[in-house]
Amino acid sequence: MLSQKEIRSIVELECARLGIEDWEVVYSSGSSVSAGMVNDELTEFTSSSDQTLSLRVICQGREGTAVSEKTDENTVRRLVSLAFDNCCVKEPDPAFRPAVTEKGKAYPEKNSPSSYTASAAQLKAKLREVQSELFAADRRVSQGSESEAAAISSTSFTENSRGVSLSDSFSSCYISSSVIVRDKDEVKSAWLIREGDLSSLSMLPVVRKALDKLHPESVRSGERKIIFCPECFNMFLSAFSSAFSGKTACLGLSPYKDRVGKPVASSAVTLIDDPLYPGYTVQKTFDGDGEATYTKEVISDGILKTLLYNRQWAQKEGTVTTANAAASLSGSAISPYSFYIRPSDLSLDELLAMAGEGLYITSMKGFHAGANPVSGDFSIESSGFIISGGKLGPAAQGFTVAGNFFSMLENITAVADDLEFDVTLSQTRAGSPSILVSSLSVAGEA
Amino acid sequence: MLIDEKLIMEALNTALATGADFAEIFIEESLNNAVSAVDSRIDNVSSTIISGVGIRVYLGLRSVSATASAMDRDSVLAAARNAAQAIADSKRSLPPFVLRERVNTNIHRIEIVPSTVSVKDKADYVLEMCTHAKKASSLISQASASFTDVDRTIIVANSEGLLTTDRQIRSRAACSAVASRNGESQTGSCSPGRRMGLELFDKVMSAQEIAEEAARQALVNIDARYVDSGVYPVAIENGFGGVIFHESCGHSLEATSVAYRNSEFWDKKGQKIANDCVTAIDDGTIPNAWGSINIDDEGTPSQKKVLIENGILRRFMVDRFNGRRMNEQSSGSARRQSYAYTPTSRMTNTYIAAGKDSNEDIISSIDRGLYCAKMGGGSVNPVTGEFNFAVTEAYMIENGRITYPVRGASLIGKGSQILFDIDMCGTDMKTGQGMCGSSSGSIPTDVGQPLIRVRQITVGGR
Repeated sequence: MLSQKEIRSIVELECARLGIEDWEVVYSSGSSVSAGMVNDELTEFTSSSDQTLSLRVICQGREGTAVSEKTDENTVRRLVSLAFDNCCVKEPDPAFRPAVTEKGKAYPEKNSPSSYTASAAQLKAKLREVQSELFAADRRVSQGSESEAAAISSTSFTENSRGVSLSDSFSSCYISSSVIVRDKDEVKSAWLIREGDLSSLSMLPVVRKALDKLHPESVRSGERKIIFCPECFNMFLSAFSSAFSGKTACLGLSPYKDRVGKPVASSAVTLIDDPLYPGYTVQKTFDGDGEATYTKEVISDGILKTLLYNRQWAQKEGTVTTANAAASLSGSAISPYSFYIRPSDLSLDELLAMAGEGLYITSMKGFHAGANPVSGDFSIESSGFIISGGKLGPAAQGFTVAGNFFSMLENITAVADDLEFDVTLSQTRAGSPSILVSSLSVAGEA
Repeated sequence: MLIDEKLIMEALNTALATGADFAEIFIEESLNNAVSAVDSRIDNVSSTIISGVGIRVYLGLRSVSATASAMDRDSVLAAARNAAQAIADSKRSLPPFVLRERVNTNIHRIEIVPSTVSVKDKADYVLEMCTHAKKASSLISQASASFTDVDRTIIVANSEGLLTTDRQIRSRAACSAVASRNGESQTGSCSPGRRMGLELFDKVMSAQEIAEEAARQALVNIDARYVDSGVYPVAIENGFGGVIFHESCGHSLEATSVAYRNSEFWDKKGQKIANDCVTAIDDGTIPNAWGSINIDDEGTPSQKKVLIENGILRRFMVDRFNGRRMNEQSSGSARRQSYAYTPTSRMTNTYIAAGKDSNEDIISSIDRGLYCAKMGGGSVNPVTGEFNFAVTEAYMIENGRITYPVRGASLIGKGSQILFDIDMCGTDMKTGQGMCGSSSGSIPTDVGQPLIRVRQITVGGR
């Protein structure tokens, strides 16, 4: 296996030979252990170690990339050649001059970052404990219920032809449980994933989540007030986050081009992009372009304050980067960090009282196909609870909730205080409290 | 050979040293290339080399996997030791074995191998798609296109003495068009893929045909009204319409869920689970089809499997490990996105076979319903069978005739119910290409069916 110094030396020589002006290399490595238990049986155990070499080259105003998991001498030479070939296919863009990061930039400090690790033995012990608790929690928890636990770590080191060196790392643990409950002929299931210190994570809420789905009522079609739980609204934020990309807007694939400074949501909505969310394990102090990251309000009290940019699309649009270049080195990717709606001080009970009658949605499936990020239209299989007299009523399932994301943002009546983030173990994640929307279409019984 | 046969043998023996009753090594090297354009400008050109080993050992009904991206001797043997240490702490239980190479029949003729074509030529196809999509109408405000190719070599060896290899070449073109009018935008897309090279553009669809199909869908949708929600009869067109079987039933017939009795069909073999007109097949042996494999990712030759025959459940899709729990042989269904994933049973090319009903009879049988011309993706909960699909191009049927286009529809239901509600099957079976996501990663699969009628289903919309 070649050392980083040897790889750098090969890259420098090959780039010089091909007339490449600038280069940037990211060495990434990671390792993980995970274990899975079905019922009381440890069925799967995996361990992995991986390394990736990502190369970006710049030549005559164009850039090309290539990535390899193989890092022997011949492959590194081939990688430079592939990146150069890819570079040569592009035409220089008069509106964008690619560059690698220059020396001398100041970067923020991480904000109380968390870090978690666990040994294989600890993972197995935690799984035994969790599975035992799940089955003991209720007699209706059924065979086939399973849990998986993992510990992962990742490091990256970036260096380029301008003498810049940047490094980053994180490690974390997660556990997920999928519980099946049976009551006579009725079968329901629920899933929960949690990240953090394994010893303090309880998976028992997944049992209640599954039991709550039993004996559902059907719902008649029509317009309803809807409250989305945090997990569900996070799916909306993930599915439609591309609408806030400066690239997407510039290409006419989002309604937000030329809308900065104008209202795009109800005044209850403040949408924040935070690369340094306090305590999060995967904080980023620099983006894929090597720019210093910072926290920004994308929507402030309903007003669109900014779109998200990397260096390329900021230059093309005549603005400054928001340091949202994705670390993929693809040259044109933009992604948010901890992307969340600011909670209020209203409780969920207060939101239910405000709704009076409607539906509280706790499970949605099919966003990858049922949500169109360009038009904003969505029609999604949903389940949850009927809201009656301002209180939670019986479970409801077998219906869809449909509308348009962009107009839904304008129809948010209130947000609650129960902010939760989804678990991605990556720099991009969505966060939301429960959200009350004044009206959406529900399709159930005729 | 990506790694030396001697090292393969050494790794298998190391993995077996603590008492495992089976060991397997999977070695992979893939070159994935992608060229994409937005607005008639090349936006991204990338090349990715995927390379590594996955070592797996079994002891009874337990499995341990260890993977490494480095393929030098130290890394491979370290992965083998990790697997051995995690599976047991005893002594070797298997007798010595020798590897015997098996050469597989390659049924996929590749005429224009992607690595022999310059990036510039691939980029020209991509730009051609953008140009034709934009030319289709002044309402097309945006067009993007891409061409991706994969050249994957795998080696599988195991403690039963198997040593075999396969080279898998796939290509896929895609075009996406946006139609805009009065501040509103609607999309259309077309993305044919095959287990072939760049002859895709000559043998399947030309760049112009792909672009014009994407633009056509976008233009239909910009003129469409929102669908009225409700419970209707629906007619679902052939090709990617087959996603309805893939999601509503296919996943529930994979050993991944059947072995643990998590599928609603786990105890239904030999029983009627679908309408008489439904015969469903998973066939990984179709020459040049997107989801075809000569061998699966455990080295087992691919098969054609009749899953449901005239409504009766006949077979499941089984991988080697889950087959142990089910007391069944592998059906050549083990698949993994890459060496970094643990393989499990997955679909290949899965379709509802052609029936006897004419398309005209199917449409004219519906007084008021929905004609789904193009489907998007979907998902299913195999435990409950609850599924959902998006419809990307649809029309209302009124008095037995297709009338006006509608948009924003999704279909939801339960797998065990819809299989009985499919009560008419047309004669013109076609397939469509998709990427299927599950625990062993994202893999290419074909879905397919003739035009079918579903007696009634919940249509979500506004």
